[in-house]
Amino acid sequence: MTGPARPLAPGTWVEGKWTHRRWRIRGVLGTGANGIVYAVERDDGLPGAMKVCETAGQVAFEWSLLNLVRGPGSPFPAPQQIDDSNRAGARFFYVMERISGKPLDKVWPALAPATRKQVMIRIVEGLAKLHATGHAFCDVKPQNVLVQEASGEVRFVDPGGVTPFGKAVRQFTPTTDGAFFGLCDRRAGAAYDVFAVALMAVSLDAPSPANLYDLPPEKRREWLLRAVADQVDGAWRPVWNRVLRREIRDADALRAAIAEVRVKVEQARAGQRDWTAAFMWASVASAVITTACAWALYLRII
Amino acid sequence: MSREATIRQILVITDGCSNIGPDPVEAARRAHRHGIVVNVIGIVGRGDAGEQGYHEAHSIADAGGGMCRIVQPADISATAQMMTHQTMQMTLQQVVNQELLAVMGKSTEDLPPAERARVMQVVEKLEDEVALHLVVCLDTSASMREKIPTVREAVRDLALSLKVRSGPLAVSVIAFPGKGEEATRLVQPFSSEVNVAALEAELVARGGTPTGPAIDHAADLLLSNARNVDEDAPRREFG
Repeated sequence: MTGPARPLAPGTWVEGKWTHRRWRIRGVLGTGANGIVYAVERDDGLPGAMKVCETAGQVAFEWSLLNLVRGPGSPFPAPQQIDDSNRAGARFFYVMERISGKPLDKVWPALAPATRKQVMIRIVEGLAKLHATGHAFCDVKPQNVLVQEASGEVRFVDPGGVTPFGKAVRQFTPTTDGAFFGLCDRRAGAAYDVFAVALMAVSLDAPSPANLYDLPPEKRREWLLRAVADQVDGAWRPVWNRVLRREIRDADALRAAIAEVRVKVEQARAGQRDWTAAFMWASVASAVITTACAWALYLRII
Repeated sequence: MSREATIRQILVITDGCSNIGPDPVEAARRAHRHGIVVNVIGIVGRGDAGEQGYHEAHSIADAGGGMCRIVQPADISATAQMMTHQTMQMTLQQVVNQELLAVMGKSTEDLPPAERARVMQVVEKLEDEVALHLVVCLDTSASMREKIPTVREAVRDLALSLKVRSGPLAVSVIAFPGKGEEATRLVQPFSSEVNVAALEAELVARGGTPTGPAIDHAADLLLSNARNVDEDAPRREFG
């Protein structure tokens, strides 16, 4: 119990003791709070993501969470199989749907304002679906939100933090934790996730200073309010301020507020860029033609 | 543990090797023999790798039946809460395992994986309801000077996490070394809240690293608290 083990090499086969199915390791997808997630392929070619934990209990518990939040349109990966194996490094594991896409913090800088708004709305809609089952995500953070760049579809990974409303939050990240900023209790609820979305949005625009961890919660909140005022995109500022003032307490209210955000229209700028580009290419072409004619005259071809 | 349904834990937060008093690994072993789990968070600063401190931190956790993580100062708070949660879950799972073995002749691991989930739901419910007695031992040796504000906030933060559980919480804080000649100092006796003013006043970096005496002191506190609770049974306000 003193630390994560060395990851399994790609190509390794893991055979389930109970189902007798086999999975081939393709590589490491990530290292979570309590285990490793591998990209795997089942013996019949079905792709999946295998979560390996140190104890049977942790695997069984996360498996039960995944089954709790499953269903058509669930933002979380669909559960596939839970099993044990004799292979060291994968004694206890479960396999789930492998979700493609990139973490939100990686794609955010390149997203157009209108796409950012759409992504935020989809995140909040995913949370609304989860909240309808009486559970909060609790570990909302950019690394746990995967965005498919082509379709703009949003999915969540790492169900380990999913907690029934009213219970103590068991997995969180300080920079997206309302309690860390003295905004709320560390208790699962719709409001806890709503704070987390606002904090996540702020963190994407305003990196937190190194000394934030030395400060008491009141001072952290002061920093947060300043960051919203100074560093956050002005179009979004009213929404996040309303969350921080506790005026928006659930996913539906947040969705409505985000829908009203007026993002800059990209069309005009894109058109302008096209016109400049056309002008540039025209200049280049005419320069080439002029030079070619000059050479032709000089060499007496025409 | 099943007798009074209380989980007892020691959390050691340190940045180096012990250099005063008895062996901390032996102290952790003694504590674990009394049903106490010892977790260790080792703090790494920039530059100091501290091979020996790393090894000692893991040995203490192994002997104390707990977990060890080596982290950056910023990660202390989230790590402390994750470890407390996971080791509580482990302790409860052992209890449930023993019951299963006694009743069915099977441990959780002998059950088909899908059925284990039901056992884990029970464990999760127990974890929320069981009483937790926690002693946090804070290294205040000279090398900790710059990290003390982060550690202080991490302890406050850990209490925020633990107090929203349904079960009762009693948390105490020990600093090592203490003032003057003292190896350890009780910063806060058992209470349901962390006294931040006491932490601010009492946590001053100085001297060596008596990790062993701190673990012994913490174990004494936990065991005498257990006796008090037993005498005044069935219910008593802590602190």
